[in-house]
Amino acid sequence: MGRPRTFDPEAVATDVANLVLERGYDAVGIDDITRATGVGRGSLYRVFGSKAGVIALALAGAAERDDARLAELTALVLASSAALDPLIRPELTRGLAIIGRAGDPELQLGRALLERHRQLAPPTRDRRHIYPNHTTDI
Amino acid sequence: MASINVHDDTLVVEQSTIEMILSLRKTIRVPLANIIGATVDPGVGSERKGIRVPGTHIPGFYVAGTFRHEDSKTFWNIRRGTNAVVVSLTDCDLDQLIIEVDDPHGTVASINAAKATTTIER
Repeated sequence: MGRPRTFDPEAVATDVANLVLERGYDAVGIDDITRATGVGRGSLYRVFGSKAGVIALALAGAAERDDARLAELTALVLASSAALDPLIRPELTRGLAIIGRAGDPELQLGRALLERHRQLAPPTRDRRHIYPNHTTDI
Repeated sequence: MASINVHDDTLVVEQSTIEMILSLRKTIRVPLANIIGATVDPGVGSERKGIRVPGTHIPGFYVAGTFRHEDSKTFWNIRRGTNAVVVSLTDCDLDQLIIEVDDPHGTVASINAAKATTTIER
């Protein structure tokens, strides 16, 4: 028996965008998406067509809302295997135009990635965990 | 193992002779314009296949042929499915192709690249 579709595609796209912001586009699989959103595979493919289709809608939503993380999401998708996807390309173009309104888009994308790097990898001075057997007393 | 290639404006699924016999279909051709998108999906093998119309299903080992499930018609050709690619179609007899290939990421990239060039030309 087919279950009726009772989910909001835009809400699902936003959830998936959050997964992508957390892990990066290529690290998020369809299994992760079905687990995180509770939407079955059949419905996902029927409504969105592909994983890229979900992200295309998420980019469109973030652009419309002028979401604070639009630059970060755009930068992550630009650097992924989905950058050439025909559903995603027009959304990237639109997103870049919106990012460009607040100033140089190159600068904003770079800034978003640097900020992400800072938050995900706090700077450490202690490198002993990298070279555990290489300690020298001076 | 089957392969997915793009020749001109057509996506072509080529199968070995044994696969053609088990799946009861010869080469499948779909115009690029009827393709919505392609996704690498290693977990798709655990999905319900539905009713064979017609095909071969040896659970856990091999699925080949046309299956109907939840109002959609899918052509499957996978073994374990770890290298599966899902291609969504529109305005076709089939709604989906789920095919196991040697290089799923390369296959999805080449489908997208081919679609991107045809979209630009039109």
